[in-house]
Amino acid sequence: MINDKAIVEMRNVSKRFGRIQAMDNIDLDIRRGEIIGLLGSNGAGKSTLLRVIIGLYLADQGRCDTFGTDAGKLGPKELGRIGYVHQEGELLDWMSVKQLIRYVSAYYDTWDHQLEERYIKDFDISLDDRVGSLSPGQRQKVAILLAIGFGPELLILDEPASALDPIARSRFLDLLLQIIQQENRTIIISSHILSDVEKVIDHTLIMRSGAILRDCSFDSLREEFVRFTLTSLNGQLPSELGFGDAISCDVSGSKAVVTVRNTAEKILEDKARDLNCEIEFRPLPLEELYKIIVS
Amino acid sequence: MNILRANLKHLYQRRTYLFLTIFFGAIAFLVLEEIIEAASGNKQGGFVAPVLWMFLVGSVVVSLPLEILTKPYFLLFARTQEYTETVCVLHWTGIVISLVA
Repeated sequence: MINDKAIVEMRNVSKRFGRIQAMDNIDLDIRRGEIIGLLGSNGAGKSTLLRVIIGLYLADQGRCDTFGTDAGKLGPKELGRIGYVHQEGELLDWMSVKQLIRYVSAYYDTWDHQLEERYIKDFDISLDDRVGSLSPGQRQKVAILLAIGFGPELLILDEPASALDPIARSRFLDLLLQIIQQENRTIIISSHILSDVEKVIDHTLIMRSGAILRDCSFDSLREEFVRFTLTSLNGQLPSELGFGDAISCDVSGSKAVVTVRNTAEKILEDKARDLNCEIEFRPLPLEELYKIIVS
Repeated sequence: MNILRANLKHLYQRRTYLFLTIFFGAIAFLVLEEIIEAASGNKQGGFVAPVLWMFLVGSVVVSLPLEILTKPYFLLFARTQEYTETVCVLHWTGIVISLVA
């Protein structure tokens, strides 16, 4: 069902490159204000999906509307509402940072010079350096500045932190959190560095082989899968604990680590009492959730 | 800043092109002299040099927009269509003028 609040609507979208099915019959709604983590292994179809949304690739089949317009026919009005930071970090290397900012800003009537000045200061960007001589981290900062300088409503980040070292990545995420807190933007972050992504997202889209395996809020995903540790109060635990619906169950002496799906905590607590065990719940990190869903 | 002006700035922003711009600019007056002489009938075949000069200058000017227009990133700029249309008009105008000349 088409959602009135959706800024991106995909219906039965398929895209093929030769023998590779990059997108397979995808239905998707992206709503205003969501921070979406687009997850999947290499070749899952993440970048293709993002490029179909912004009209860089045309769907072979189905329809994709972005801001109510066919994605293949986005005009200045729609493009002026979309910021895109791409995986390849493709910029005009021969320009200085200052020249590049001025060049890109010429294309936008809504360019916010105050915002630009603030980010240059906050990002610690050197304006006189040539873009081609910047480190990957600096380059990514410039790419982000160019993507947000005109105040886009939809910000698309395709592997934004893949070129960064752990320290630069952490700083980048802080920055992203700052952007999210300051403005009510819709952000789609594609990444396979899941430990980073989980700090900022509120919605997850998991892809595999061109199909969407999961499209749900991060909270509901966390509620669906529960991991807990059982500690026996009277010696060894039996090898079979009787959690029939367990995804995994590792028993070692008097302790067991169990992962279950769609089971209320109350039921698990009752079961632990029956086994004369203490129970301790642990939230599953996104990486674990992803592994469970993909496997 | 006007989009066309922003794009013409590449001619001095890129170091190689800065050199070429200075070089072609420096010989522009010689080319102009050739045109004036040929037009006044003092010199036969005088249009060869200006045509060659125009071809080289045109190649230099065109190569940068082409390089930028082939980057997918550029296609997402809000008013990119406006610039592409301007470039097409300028290129065709140049081709027509060259053919007439």
